[in-house]
Amino acid sequence: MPMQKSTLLLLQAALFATGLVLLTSCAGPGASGTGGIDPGLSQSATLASVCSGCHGGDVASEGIVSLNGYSATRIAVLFRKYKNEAEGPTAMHRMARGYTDVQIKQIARYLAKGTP
Amino acid sequence: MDLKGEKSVLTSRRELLKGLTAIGLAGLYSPAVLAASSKARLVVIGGGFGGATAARFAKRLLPELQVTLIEPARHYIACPFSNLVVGGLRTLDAQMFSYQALTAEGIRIIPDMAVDVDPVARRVTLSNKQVLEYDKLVLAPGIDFRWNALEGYNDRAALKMPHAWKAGVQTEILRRQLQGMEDGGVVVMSITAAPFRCPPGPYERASIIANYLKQNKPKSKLILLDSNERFSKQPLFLEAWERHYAGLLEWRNPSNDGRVDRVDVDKMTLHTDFDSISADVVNIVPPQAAGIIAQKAGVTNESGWCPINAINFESTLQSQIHVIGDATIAAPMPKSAFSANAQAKVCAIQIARMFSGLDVEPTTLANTCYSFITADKAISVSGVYRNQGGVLASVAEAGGISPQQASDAFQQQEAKQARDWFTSVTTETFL
Repeated sequence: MPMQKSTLLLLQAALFATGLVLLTSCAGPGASGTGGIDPGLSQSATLASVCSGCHGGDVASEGIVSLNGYSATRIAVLFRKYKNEAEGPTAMHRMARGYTDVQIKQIARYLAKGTP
Repeated sequence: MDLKGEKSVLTSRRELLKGLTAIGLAGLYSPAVLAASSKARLVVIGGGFGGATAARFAKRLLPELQVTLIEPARHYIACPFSNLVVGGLRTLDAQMFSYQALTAEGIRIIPDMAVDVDPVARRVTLSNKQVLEYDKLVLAPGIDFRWNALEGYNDRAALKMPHAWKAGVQTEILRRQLQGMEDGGVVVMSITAAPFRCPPGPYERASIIANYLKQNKPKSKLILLDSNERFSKQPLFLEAWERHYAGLLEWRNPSNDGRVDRVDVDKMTLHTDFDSISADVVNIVPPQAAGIIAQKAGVTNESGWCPINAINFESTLQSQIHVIGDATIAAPMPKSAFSANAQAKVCAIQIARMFSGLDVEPTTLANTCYSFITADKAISVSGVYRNQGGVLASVAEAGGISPQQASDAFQQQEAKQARDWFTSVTTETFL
């Protein structure tokens, strides 16, 4: 299934590789808005690293959504929705309640753009 | 931090990578020395969800790093979902993963067993006597069984009373015994006292064995002899058992004489304080500790498990050794594949930071464990964990179990999520 494979590669790229690509181009001063640290080694990368355990595969949207192609805004809006639905029953609701709005923003930005 | 400072951090990181092998800076300019020791060496012991993930992420984060994974098995056989194999709902093949993708990414894989670690000289000895030096070591050895800690239960006994708590041949033995049993037979599971690998695992297994019996051998009985008064997702499992397996499955905790003191393999009998129970099929979830190599490395404490600084998963007992996964003392984070995979990523990033001359930073971790209660229904438990001085603590507002009295549709949806989780975590670790 070539389409699915390429989707997977894209997501992996979004989740992990972007940071590395940026690393090589970010070695110079001013390359990164938040201070020049390799994005893959940033606080945001560490925080976001847990997400791919569920969202990193070539999954159908029937169970867990693949975040492939999601913008940072879309990830953050959905994440906060999960967090703020008081009676929300899913595993994502239960986990979202453990993250601050600042952390959600960091995670969304890193997953979508590979930047801290 | 000013930009000049940052640049110097990045520069020093490169020098560190080149110079970590303890040669002087001047040595860097000698081509011969450079060729011999230009790379920092990370050795990872154990190719499961923790070790394989850590090796992969470390290599991606620091492509120059020399990453070696020591794992004797040619294929990894995953424990998550192996209860479905026991219950005849899945093939063992679907649990098997090769290390080809890791090799393709430049990770050197040594298919041998690590038999000793010298934490002072920073050397690992393999069973073939080969010695590997490391700058940093990641131990992801999983569990080993404490044979004879349950009287009468050792590696030979396990051939007749399988544990199936490491997936593979053991999973097949248990599966075949269940298949071969007559309708009307008695299956007994003995569950050791916590902590053990996969806290909800025994109860998922009980559910799936009960599902098999209900479908195929409805006159049979499953008895759980439990050394724990309480267990993971208990209200949800009890509800599911009442709803799906009433009259078929009986659970006894220690207050109800459920603690097994001794087993007699020849007589296929289990002894509790006041009772002895004979069975046609016996499954033992045995007493456990960190994989034996952790003990050799001097990273276990008197409990048999490994205390860690949860910020970077470095051992609190030995420097330059990190421990992840089931072997660690990371409670409230459970001994799960999800945890091992998540810890591995954080550990790899922190190791890359250390190799790069950066400070380690605490982060927030999370876990979700799904358990099947029937062939197509599942329940879950989640948690979010913050570091407090290197110790993990549950975020109070977060986590918890699936709702009770949930609809079939909700539990079927959780089963789909479980399958997607398995796809994601195995893809990230092995594919």
